[in-house]
Amino acid sequence: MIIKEIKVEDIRKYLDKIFDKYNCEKDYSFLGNKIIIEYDAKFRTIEIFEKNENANKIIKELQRLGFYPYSIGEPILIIDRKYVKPTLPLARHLKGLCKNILIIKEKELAYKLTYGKEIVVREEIPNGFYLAFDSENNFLSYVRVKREKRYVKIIPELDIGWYLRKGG
Amino acid sequence: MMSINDYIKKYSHLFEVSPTYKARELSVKYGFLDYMIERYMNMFYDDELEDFLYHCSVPIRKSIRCNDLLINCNDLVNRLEDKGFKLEKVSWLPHGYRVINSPKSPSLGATIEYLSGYYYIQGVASMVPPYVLSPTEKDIVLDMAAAPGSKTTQLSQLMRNKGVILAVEKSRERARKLFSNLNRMGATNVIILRSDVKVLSKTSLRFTKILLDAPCSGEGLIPIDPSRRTKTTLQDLKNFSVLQLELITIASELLEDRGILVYSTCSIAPEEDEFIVNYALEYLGLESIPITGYPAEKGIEEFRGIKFNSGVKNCIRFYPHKNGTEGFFVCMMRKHDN
Repeated sequence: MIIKEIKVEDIRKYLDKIFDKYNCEKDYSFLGNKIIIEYDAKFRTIEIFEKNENANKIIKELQRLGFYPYSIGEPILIIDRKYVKPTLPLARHLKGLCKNILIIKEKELAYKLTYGKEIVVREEIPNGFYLAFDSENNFLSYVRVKREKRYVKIIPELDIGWYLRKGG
Repeated sequence: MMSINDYIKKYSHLFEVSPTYKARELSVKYGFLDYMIERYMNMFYDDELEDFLYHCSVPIRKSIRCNDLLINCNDLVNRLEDKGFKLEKVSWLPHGYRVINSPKSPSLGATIEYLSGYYYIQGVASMVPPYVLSPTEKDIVLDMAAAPGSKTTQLSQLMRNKGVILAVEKSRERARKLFSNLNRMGATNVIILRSDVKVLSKTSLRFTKILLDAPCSGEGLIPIDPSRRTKTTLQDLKNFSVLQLELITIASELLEDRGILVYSTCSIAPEEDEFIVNYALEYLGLESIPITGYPAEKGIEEFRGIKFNSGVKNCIRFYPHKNGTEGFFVCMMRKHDN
């Protein structure tokens, strides 16, 4: 595993893919005052940590002795050769930036999304990728919308139920 | 300094128990191992002993810690009450609420608010150690046995995500859970090291504040997990004590001069509590500091003929029969100037 500090410029093209996917304003200000760390193992992970002298000292001292942190701060992106995926914590930063937003008003449907299950609604929604929220503005899931003849399928790609099902 | 081996040898009779007839009788009545009862007979007077044993069968109300990093606590209460939960604020905890009533669905651990990180399901006594440690953004904090992350996320909350916490967890599976909980709760000032905490002794790192919520027998969790009445053998208890002595020794090495260590366990066993603190006070250059503001009992100064350092009275103990909480132990210590 390789861990290195990178710059905003180094991840801009990856973030732009996410911004484009969800129709977001290209605003990188949430990276201001952050150390950006790249983990390079099976796949690459980008994590951010508020700039802090002590944190730097800890990371450097651990690395000097050959110890690598499991994680540093907040993961925002997972990058493979074929894809760039947003993490669940990134949704907190995307909340005010993106236009492809779906509000799931029915509570049962909102819960169903958090079980990782697709839902069906009879509304006019264009195909595409969206951030789904419930009626109280809680982020539920990154979703893909697929139009059928008489209804629309909302398919979760990464939902907050992941914390229960996989996170532990 | 006395080595851990010598210390254990000196007090070896702590780990030799011959249960009396009365202890055996009570062990059958309440379903505990008899050696445990024999030890409780040294901790409680007759009436209190049965009161304690009885309360170990009374389920404890669930409780949650509101995460005001992500939500206003009044809003959280309103949202959960709209879903059919009834909450009661714990007056002595800034973010603690007891769950008085729950709806059939959703369960407390599956609401959208839970998945959004607005609260952590956590025993009320278990919320005490981070408040006692009281870290600020200027601190360099070490959480020595961090997973699954209840206290790590609470430390982040108290630090308002500023400063830095190094959270150490040896097990891969538990580190994964810790990572997940940190992300869910929006704790962003944490570096996770998946390793044996002993490796830190090789570094030049020193910490202003350390939380050692030590791996333990869980003897305080019997009201929550009845299997613990018969789970821990006397040899297991000894093994836990040795591990705790090792960990508190490492903690004392990693602490800056005048730095603060909070040692806690979810056990009421003096062998895992005052016996460990006694070693720190006698041999590791630490002094205890009184903890105030909690409805708890003082540390036990004498147990099975051993008189501990009088500083253990500054530690606090929570019991199900006296405090309506899980059994818990918390002690705050400061490192002397070298």
